[in-house]
Amino acid sequence: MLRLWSFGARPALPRCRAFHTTVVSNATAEAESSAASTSQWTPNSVRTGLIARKRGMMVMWDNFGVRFPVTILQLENCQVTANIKTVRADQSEYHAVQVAASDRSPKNTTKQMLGHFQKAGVPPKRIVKEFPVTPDAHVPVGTTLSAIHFVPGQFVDVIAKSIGKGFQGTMKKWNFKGLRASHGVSVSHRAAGAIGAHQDPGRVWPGKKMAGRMGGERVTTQNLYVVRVDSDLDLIYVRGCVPGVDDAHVMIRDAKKKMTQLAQHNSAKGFFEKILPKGLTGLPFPAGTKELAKALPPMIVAPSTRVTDPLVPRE
Amino acid sequence: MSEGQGEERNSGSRDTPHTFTIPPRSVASGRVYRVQASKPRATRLQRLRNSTLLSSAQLAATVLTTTTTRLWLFASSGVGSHTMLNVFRRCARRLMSTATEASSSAYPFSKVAVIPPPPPVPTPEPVKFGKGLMAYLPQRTLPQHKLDLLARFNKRHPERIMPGSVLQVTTNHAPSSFTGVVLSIRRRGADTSFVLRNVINRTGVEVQFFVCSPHVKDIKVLMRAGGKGGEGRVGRRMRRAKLFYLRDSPEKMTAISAGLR
Repeated sequence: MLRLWSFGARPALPRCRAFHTTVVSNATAEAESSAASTSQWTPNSVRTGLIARKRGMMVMWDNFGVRFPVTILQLENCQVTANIKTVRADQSEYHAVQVAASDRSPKNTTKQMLGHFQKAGVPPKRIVKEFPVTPDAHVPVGTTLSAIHFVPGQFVDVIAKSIGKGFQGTMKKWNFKGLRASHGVSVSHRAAGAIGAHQDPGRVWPGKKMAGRMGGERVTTQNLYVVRVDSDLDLIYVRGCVPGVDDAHVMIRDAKKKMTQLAQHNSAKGFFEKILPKGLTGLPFPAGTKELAKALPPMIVAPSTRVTDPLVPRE
Repeated sequence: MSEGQGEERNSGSRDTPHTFTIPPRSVASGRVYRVQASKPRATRLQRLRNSTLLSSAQLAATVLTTTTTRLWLFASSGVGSHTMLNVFRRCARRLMSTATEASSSAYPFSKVAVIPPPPPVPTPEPVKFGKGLMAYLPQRTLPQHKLDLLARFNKRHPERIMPGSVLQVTTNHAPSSFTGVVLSIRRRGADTSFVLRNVINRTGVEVQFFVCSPHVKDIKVLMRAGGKGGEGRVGRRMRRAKLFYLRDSPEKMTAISAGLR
């Protein structure tokens, strides 16, 4: 389907990183020239994300008294360690912000990483990840990010390593139905059954679903609603579940489907009220820092998206 | 400041660098979004700041009376020294501390966000690093009357509610009150719940109530199951934590209701 409205305004977001010669440049000079006071969020901007730890789950009740589960994510000294700009062979650019979290003892950090953190002016960290951004969204190196980066009422994607399940059979791993419990089935109630045809093709297709290791891999949960932000304790409450065990590191970024994509498309089409989710008037840009958190209230709560009271019968 | 006539503005926000301004529909879009390029006329607040040093009380009064109070919030991100600005922030934050709907002056990124009052208990230091965080969070997020109700379900409370007690729960919606025997207590911090069983019109009815739910107005103990202290009559001490066997013994249910009468 030809979407004429998207031709001009589509930003050059990275799709492949075939020739990734990492030219790590301290974009402090760049960032200072376009100082924080004049850089503003646009519908075509993509901001950096954060690294947090999943602390556990709790429950909350909205203003209609409806119960919903929340996951608590806590930031642990999340700081920017580099701004990355790579120019590919076809002259397109890849921009990213490298973020690190969870302080670590220098005696347990390799010399190579110690040097990297020293260059950024941050203490050594356990986890270092980067988030692709647009060129206007670079953050000065060494900035400490805060939970205030996310606005209650917005949607986020949370990425983490899922809980490892070990070596699992086809019934658990691929939802196979197994065989009957009785009627003569011998010793194969949970087996996979047949794995191919006969002489044609005479082999097993590559990628055949079989038993194997399950879990322990990167999983993205999309479009989670941010319910509450506590900048005092650096907590983000998201509605629903998040992959991984408690105290695992997770990456949080603005939802691609409900935030980034909708903002770009609606601004290109001219639906200005739909650029951000209901009630939101902006996003901290280029990032929500500790300084910004001091100027804003320590706890902010998003109202429920419900419209009608579920306990009042309809007429 | 007057960049264009008839420009739509978000309610309450004005020339704030962090707020996305909705552009007018009449503008032919090559570039739909507009950057606040021109520096606005120095506001009353900025002129005051640039002039002689005032006392913090005078400054706070000026902050509250002037209409452009929101501006001080956004000259942030560590550019330049703003010692006067920090004085503003501290005064104004102390003065507007009650739970109010967030106007743009308090939180500029959302029109509908709510700012609750600060918790009465100060945060212990280890919680900021995650130690004991989940156990501390109900104190931070729940109101005091709910914490008192929750405390009665602790195992060590002198007037604890035990399985086998008869409770009357008053709710905000229909049915406005429900009485029954506690079959089980499920302790999960803020998610603590209990199941009450009663026989109404020869039909067994069980209802699970969540202690911290806003629907639960009050819990009254009509008969406590053994133990010391507490109001109400005293019943038998139950030798089990979960009394699901009562579902199959109507005679024991009758005995409990007889003991109540």
